[in-house]
Amino acid sequence: MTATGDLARQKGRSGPSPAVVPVLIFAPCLIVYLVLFVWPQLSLLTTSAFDKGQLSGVHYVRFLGDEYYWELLGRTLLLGVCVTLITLVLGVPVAYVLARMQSRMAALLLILTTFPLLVSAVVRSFGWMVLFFRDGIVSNTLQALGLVDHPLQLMYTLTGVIIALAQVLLPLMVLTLHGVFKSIDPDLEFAAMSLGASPPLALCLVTLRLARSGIVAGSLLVFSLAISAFATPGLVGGARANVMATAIYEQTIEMLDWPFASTLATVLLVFVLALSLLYGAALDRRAKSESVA
Amino acid sequence: MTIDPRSPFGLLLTAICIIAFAYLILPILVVVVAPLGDTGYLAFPPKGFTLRWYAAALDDTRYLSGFLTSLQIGGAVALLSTIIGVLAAYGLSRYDFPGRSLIEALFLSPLILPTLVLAVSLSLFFTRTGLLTGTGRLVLAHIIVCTPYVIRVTLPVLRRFDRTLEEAAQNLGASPIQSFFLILLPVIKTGIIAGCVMAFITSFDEVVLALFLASPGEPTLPVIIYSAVQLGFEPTVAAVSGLLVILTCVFMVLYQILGVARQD
Amino acid sequence: MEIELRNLAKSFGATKVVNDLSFSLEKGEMIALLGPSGCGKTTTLRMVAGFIGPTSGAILVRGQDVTRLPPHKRDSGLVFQNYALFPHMTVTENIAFGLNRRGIPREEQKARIAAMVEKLKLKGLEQRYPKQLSGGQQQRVAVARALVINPAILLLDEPFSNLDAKLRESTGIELRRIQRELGLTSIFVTHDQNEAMAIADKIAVMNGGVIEQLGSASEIYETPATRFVAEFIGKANFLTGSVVDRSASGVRIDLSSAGALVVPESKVGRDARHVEVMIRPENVVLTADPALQSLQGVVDVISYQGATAHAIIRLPSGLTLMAECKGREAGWMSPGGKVFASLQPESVTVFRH
Repeated sequence: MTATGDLARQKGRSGPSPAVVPVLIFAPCLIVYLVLFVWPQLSLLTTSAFDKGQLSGVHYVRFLGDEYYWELLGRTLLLGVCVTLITLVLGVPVAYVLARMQSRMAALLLILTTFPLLVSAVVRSFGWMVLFFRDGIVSNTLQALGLVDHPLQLMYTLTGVIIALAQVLLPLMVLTLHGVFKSIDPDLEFAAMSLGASPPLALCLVTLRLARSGIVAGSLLVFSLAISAFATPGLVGGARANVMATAIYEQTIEMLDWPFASTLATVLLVFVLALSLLYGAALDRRAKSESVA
Repeated sequence: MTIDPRSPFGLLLTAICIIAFAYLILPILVVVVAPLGDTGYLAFPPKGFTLRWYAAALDDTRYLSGFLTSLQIGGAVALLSTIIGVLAAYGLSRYDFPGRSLIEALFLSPLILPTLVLAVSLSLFFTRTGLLTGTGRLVLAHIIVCTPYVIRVTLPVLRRFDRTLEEAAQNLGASPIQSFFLILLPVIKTGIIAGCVMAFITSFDEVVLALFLASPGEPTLPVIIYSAVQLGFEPTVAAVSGLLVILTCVFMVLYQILGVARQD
Repeated sequence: MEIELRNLAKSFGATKVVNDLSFSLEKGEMIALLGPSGCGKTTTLRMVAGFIGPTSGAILVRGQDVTRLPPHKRDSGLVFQNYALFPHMTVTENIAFGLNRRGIPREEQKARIAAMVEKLKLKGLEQRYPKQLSGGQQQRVAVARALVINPAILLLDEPFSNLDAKLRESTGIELRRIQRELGLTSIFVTHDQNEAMAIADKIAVMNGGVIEQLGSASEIYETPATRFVAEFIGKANFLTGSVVDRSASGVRIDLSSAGALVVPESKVGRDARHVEVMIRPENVVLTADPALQSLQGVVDVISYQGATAHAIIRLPSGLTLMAECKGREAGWMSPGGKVFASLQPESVTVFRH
């Protein structure tokens, strides 16, 4: 020790050797992930691929051979597409307006957007159930407006699930797109307008074009969450508007058919993984286009 | 704003925003307001006014014990996943080694995994290994869901952290461990709190893993509400949900006020 | 000897960032490591502070080898380029940090902090947080924090580079005064030659990981050891030529396009043949009429700066010369005008080419 002057008063201490530190830092997380994440996922795959102790594709054959499951898959994807479209139609304008607002109002509205995310999906779905009730306000309003001529049944229909789930996922779309629009210089629109484009045209030609890969990324995120959502379809859709997630729940809790449930889960997982790879690619493209700009 | 709010296009944008926010808030408003109705069944808008259902909700020990269970699980999960997550994020921000981005992808991957798939696989796993019983299983399951949130929130904060601050501390005589606790943690405190809060809320609100893994004797509040809603539209359930929304609201306002105060 | 660096070297992979670097300092001395970015000056400083372990060589403080000591066990006070003030601590807490780590009793801490606050003119700012301070105030807190621990060495990493030009000069003088007062041995890293020359006792001009020249400010300016030093410190004209004759009166160098020059023998290496002659602009004398050994040229650019005037002279061969004279003596020159330039033999430096 140099230990001159003040430093000599310091008590001697020594830490662990430098090479041990990174190992200690990663150890808790790695152990938790390997035991509770990697291992269970692998055992899910093997469960779906084994029958009576033997490697077998029998569960996948059952899935592919039954029209019911094709319909189930189709309905799930339809749910995903519709939810994504609704969140896009509402999310793009909201995110754009919020990104271009300068005031405290924007911060407040952003908090208002985040708030639903903090409320359990169960509670939000419950809210929709009250609204969808046969004499509920949605049905009455639509009748009063003359859009439908008989009490509208939204409970236990795919339409109801779509409306409810789009509300559940809209905040995520808005927050994703808000970041995207925020990173696009508003002066670009002024530039386009000074060259003769009308405001809506400037918005479409410049900002939306630049935001394209961000919009794609947000859509993929919402789509993959929509096809794997459980609480909302479970409550609003019930047994009559069955989707993949609710079917998996049925197979496990009610039928106790774990191998087949694992098969359905694996199919869902494959879709979600494929989408997340596309999502990653979209983000990459966005990062690249930003670094060029 | 580049768009004139009074132009037809501006009006269209404004209209869409109003519809969108009404759409976002409506179902949440419903669960708060509907149980105030005096009709004995849930309706929106409510007819009459009574606090009966709210009183009943507060009186029902089932909901209270569910709330306490959720609170305990949420607290344990928030604490553990914050420790695990902050350590991992620190490691990712500090050390460069081959396969680092792979490890990062692994740590974040539960975010994209459908919770239901995780619930099925963890149920299988716990049944086969017999690891833990009761609430412990749910805590472990929630840690897997919540740790990625902590990492995602704290990693950018840690990457932005000015490392010369730690060097300055060491230059002034602080050991690496002292400078971690005296400098790094206090400086990134806001990020850690945000990650911790996110983990707590995620665990508290989570229903899928809870349906699969919560011990039948100790269901969490979302499970109780889920089951009750499936059985029928009891105004008390709506009142419980309403209370949850109000609580979330209070919590959020407090968090904002404290957060703003800290930044000054 | 207070501080000694012995054959210090650092490589990152195959690149040698610092190579065989040695110097020593007596108590109270201040050295400036001066060089362009990437010359290894900051790496050297960080090795002294202990943040980087040298590949080879040794660092001695008061005769003890500290080369392998971790940073927190070295007795150095470092002022960072960005100040690195702890954002969550007040000015007082920042200054007290090092004292706390050393277990100094509260009462003594108070007295020492008060003395530092006084010395660095931080009175009234004690309870502020760093972001509530101006750049100059932040810099003074950083200095106070480094000084209050009575370090064996004071290390300064470009401490003025984030200040505006006016503040930079006064702060530099102030820092030098305090450093003298406290008798602090200091190493000061900078890329700004004016700063180095104004503040340091000696300057090590670094390039490519080695010290090109170590000496006082006037030594490195007047008698640069290498072409790099001549070019990096101040302005310089370089003329290539060859030795044509050696006699008792001096060495005759033929500058081809710029005439010939006879310089004292001591300035030219014994066996040098092809040489480069360096002359500072202020040593190029400009006259309206021909003088001995003068070169005729045309004024290309003349810029009046107040105290001085800078001229660029174009010689018939196309070569240009920078010249500098007193501002009030430049009135007769105008762009395009005829001018005679003479090079003073006693003020040139000759490098082997």
